[in-house]
Amino acid sequence: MRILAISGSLRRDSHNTRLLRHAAERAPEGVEIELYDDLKSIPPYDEDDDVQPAPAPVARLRQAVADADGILIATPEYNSSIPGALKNAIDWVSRPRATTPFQNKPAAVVGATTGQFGAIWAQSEMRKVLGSTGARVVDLDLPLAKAHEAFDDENALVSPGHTKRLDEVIAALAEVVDERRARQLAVAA
Amino acid sequence: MSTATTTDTLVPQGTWAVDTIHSNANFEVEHSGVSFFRGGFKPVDAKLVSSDDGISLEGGVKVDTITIDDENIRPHVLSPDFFDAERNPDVTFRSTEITGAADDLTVRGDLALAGVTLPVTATGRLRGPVDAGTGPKVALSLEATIDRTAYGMTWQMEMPSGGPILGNDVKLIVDLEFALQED
Repeated sequence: MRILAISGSLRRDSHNTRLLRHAAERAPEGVEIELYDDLKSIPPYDEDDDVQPAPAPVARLRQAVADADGILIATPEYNSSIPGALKNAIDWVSRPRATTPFQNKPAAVVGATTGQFGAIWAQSEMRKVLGSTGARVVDLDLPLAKAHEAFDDENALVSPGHTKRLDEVIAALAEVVDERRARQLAVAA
Repeated sequence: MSTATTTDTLVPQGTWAVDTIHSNANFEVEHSGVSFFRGGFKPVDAKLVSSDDGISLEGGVKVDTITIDDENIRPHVLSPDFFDAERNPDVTFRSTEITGAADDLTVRGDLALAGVTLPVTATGRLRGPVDAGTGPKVALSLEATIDRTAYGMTWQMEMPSGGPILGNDVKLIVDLEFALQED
């Protein structure tokens, strides 16, 4: 299965992007986590621009979400909420609402901050937003606090507890994807 | 199936098939703390059986027939936040006990909705039989109130002025017309 991983941070040395790279390395056999790296090119949402053909970066992201079996988002937290660039990208993909590739799409959210709460509010808000888009959201989080101290030189998580939680999130997401695939096969048979 | 000796004479014995054109399954839920949002499902599938054991009722609707046409609300209501229609395409009801009199009927049964099955008690009345020129007909009018959160539909938004945007109690209002099935 293919999981599209989206980091809500644009910074080159982003902790959230690092977390997703580590997730890709820890993905179990049969699970491929592919990092989306074009968030910065998504224009601000403007309904006047939401026409066919869509702006090329938007079209690519919509297609990437449609092609993925599941979505894994890592979000930082700005002002107790989701960063604007990430929310903006979700808004683009969520429209038109009737045909969004988010509908029923398995999704999970993790998050990292250098503060002590690990983006728990941003993760909660991200899950709410994804639910509104119709996604099938895994009810787990990974609050990675003090992210600047959380990785070793190999970019792996230092804490066994964080590592265990990341594995649990990936496993839960994969389980939802598997369950959905099995049901789709049963319906098609 | 239901067994209730008090209802064995309410409806002539036999299997009664629902008239889908003249039957409705609707719901009502408080919105914005001030109004009531109503919707429904159509067609309604249902069957009423009358025997020495009393009467029993079973039926259901397809979730994706929900009569919400707003292009933003409809997919959200069908999504995992609410009905999760992909996993649970049907709503079904099967009575376990029907008691009372025609004008004061109590229907107990199991309602399966959004992947959860819970006991529900509906009240209402049974009218007929009448002969409308095409054979005998009876009708059931039933109401029940369920807590949507018990079925996993826990989505909620706080209004800026305070208070929930959507009520938890959902009133179900079902009107069913039946025709006696030919053997």
